Amino acid sequence: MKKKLIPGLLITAFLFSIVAPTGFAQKKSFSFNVTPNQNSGVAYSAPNPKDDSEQKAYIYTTKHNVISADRFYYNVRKTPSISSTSYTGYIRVTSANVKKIVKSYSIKANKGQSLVLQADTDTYSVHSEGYWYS
Amino acid sequence: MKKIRLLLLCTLLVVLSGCFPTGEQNAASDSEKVNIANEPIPDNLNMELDKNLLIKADITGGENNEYPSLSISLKDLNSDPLKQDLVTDKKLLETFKSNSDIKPDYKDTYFEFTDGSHMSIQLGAVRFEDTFYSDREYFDVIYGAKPYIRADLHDIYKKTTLENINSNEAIEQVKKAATEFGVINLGNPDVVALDLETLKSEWEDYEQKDGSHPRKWEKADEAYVVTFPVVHNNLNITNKGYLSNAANIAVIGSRVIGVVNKDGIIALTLDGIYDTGTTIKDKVNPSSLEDALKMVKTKYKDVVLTDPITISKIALEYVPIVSKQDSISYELIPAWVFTAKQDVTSTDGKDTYTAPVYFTIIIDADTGQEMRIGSDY
Repeated sequence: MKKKLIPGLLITAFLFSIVAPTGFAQKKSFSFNVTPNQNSGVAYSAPNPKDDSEQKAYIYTTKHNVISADRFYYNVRKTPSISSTSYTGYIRVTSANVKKIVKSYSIKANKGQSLVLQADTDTYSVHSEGYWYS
Repeated sequence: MKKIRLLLLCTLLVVLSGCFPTGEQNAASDSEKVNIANEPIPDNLNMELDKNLLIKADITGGENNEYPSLSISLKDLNSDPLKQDLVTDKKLLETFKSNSDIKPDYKDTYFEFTDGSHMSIQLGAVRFEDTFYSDREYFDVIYGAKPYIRADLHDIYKKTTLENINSNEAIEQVKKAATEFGVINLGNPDVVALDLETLKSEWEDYEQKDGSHPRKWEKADEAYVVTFPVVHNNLNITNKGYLSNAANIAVIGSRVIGVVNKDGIIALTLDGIYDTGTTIKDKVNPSSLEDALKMVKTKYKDVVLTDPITISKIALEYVPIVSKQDSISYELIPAWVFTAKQDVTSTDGKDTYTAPVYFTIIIDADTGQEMRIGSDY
């Protein structure tokens, strides 16, 4: 029993080491005011240079007016353009998940690479602000 | 000298009162009114342009009577980046390349070093961050939610010097680093001192992604933020950026930012760095400040401004634009750049809150018309 337990613990430790966040990451703030008929309802955060190697975005919205009838989305992109490479696809923001969203990247983002957070609204004007880790 | 200046201001006030419609004046009706045509451009302007449209601005640029407009292209800064002083003592861990979004045949390059620091080289841009920088909250302190440094950074961090760090040496270090990457023609530097007392007073608690809380600032974290304008034909290239509606891309002015602590540069950003090309128009005689102000006033003539707008900076600068000819290449044109702030009050059904909104108005100094741009970037 003991022999099986030790390799199991080592494998668990190894797996944890490759999926856990590596290194410290700085938060980057964002503040969006988007309206469907202005700039196509789209706005972008400032570039966020990735400073760790974890392949996930963490998005914390601390102030907002998102309601259930909204069609409001976040999307992590390479540059501030609707034709730019997306790392997450559109993430619907609802009152249930608005406080904290964690989304894995579909394409590898390297340390030092700048990413931007896109906000997009289809129905109502939305204000949201908070911080995120690229 | 003061009397001459006062006389000049009075003359300008008379000129302006004839130029602008005489709307209802508020309590600031005795503000200085200035201008302009045939007179030297003043160093600052304090006036009410219209109801709730205020100007309390320093004015820079415009010493020459004419400037050429010219073609420009984003500079390739990828010339032996690993030989720069910033990283010569670091050991390379990994290099990664990806296709540029701007130019398909150009590769963006990312270097990661064994100590955790990293550097990226893209067209017209270099970003270097030492681990001392990225392990602390400098980025949020300096930029907030903005692509360029926070407009209120000087208002919050009022000190210009720090103990144990010489500001002149910090300036020289940033200048040298920028020059090594081929960024020359730097103008007068600006310095903000991130002192411990203010850093502490600005510290905020929040949940980090690993559930922990941000570290507290320490004396060793004090640093300078050094910025330089890039100059062409004796005219600053703007550090403003904006989203181009026509080309669906961000167009960035020239930005040189270094963060320097007691051990040297801990972060360097060079962005919107251009090579200049052929002259498009030999002599652009910039429209007068008076005409530019009229255009700003016209912008709001059909708008009821309930929240006052204050213009805090006016500058005649070179502004990069996407070429009207092909929407791919860039041009550099002289333009009047107005930095504005509006405290916007919003109600979302639950709360009423007021937040400052900073934005830029750009008047093409050749055509005299406002440039149609997206939001600041």
